Amino acid sequence: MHTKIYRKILLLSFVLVLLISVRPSLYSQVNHIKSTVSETLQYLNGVGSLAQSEYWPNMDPEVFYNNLKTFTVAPLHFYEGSSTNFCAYSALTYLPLQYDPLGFAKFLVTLYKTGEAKMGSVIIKPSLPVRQNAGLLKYKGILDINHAAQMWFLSLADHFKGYLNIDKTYQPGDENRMWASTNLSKFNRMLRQLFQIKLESIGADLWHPRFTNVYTYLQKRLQKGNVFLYLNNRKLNRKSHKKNFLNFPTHYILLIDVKKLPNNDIEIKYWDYGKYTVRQLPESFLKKIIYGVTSWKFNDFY
Amino acid sequence: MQKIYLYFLFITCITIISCSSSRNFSTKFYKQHSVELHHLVNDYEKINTQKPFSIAFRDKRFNEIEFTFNTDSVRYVYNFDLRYNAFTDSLIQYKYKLADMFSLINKMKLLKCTWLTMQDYYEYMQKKSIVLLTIRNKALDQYFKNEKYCTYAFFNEPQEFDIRGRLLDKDGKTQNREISGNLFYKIKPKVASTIATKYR
Repeated sequence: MHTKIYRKILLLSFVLVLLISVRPSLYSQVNHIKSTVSETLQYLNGVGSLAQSEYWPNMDPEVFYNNLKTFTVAPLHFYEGSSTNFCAYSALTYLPLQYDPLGFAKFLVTLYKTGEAKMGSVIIKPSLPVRQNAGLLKYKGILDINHAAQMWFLSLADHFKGYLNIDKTYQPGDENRMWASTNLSKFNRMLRQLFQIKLESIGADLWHPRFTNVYTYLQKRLQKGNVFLYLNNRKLNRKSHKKNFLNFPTHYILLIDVKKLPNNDIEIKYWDYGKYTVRQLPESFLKKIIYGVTSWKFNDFY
Repeated sequence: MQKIYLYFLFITCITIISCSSSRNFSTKFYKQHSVELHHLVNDYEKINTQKPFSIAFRDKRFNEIEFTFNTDSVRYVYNFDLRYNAFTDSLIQYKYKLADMFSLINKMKLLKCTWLTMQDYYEYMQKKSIVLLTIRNKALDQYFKNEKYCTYAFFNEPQEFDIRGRLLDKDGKTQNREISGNLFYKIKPKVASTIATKYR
């Protein structure tokens, strides 16, 4: 009799242990998705047309509303603008665009209507110069007609400050200058506070992380979740023929895929400037340009 | 003592010569090569409308090319050495007409054009495009300064310029329009140029 009970208890505990161990992997692919495209569109249709905001005098409400719909339908076309320092803000925007479009839309609508809004653990309340200049940015490509992205980028740059941001007050043109730049610890802080996720990060602003095998390392990180790279874009996209003696990171990208090619080069696929980019690079070159790797596991979201 | 003065004078002269303005170069070069430049732009536009792409030459000898194949959602950036077949193979794979492409590349080499691309800009909320073409020339090399490049912007319609010939924003007609962070100067109503330390 006793042995039967013990057997049942043993069997039950075995099933329980099995369920617990399987659960994270079962949910890891869906747990991080907070809302869907259809929910967001439903919400935006409910919002209807917006009135001119008293907080954002130069933002066109109709353009803003259409921008929100475009974010939802075509999130990967999100563009940081040419010659701006908004790449870090744009890279991290991948997370709300992909996993919580409804939360992102609600945040932007609230920010537009009330001049302040909460995301994660942060209350973002942009300063007057930022609010007055959102909607006026020009010569940045499609960002010119994306007032919602202008508002989002300027608000983040205004709220989060690192040691590179000596100039704290926004003046027109500062989007191209150090006012908007982002060092690695500021980038990680933004991710933690905005999306409340646990991060794994290696590297620094002035020296490279040590990789025994960069390909294997990046591939392992990609299997667990999203990976952001902080790299030297001057070397990756050379703009002059002279040698660069000053080496430091200048750009953030979201790594999508990494492959080893038969000739031992590494093919990386990443997202920036509203598109995926595919490039084939020698492993030694890739090591040289990477200064920081930040990643998070899917099931560590929120 | 006189010798020291002479040395000082010599060094000052060289410094002044090396720091002289290189803006005249763009007008001179355009006058000398306007036919070739417009042919190059027309050829590029013809191929680009079917299959968007950009070309950059990465070396001084114009052998190493960075070719960007643009699709709606992905840009493929590849580096090729023109002395090998890999570039031809890739053009075939992406279904470009080889004769047209090599004719374009030869024209670029003859003009020492290091960068050729099409860029979008917005006017009255409308999307428009310009062809940007960068020339690398020894006349722009100065001993005491970084190497400079001359970039031409070819517009599809006449532009507004201020009294000093600087490209104006059509929306307000008071603000100077910047392209990739640079001010552009008038060459012709549809053509403007700038001298910059970067070729793209």
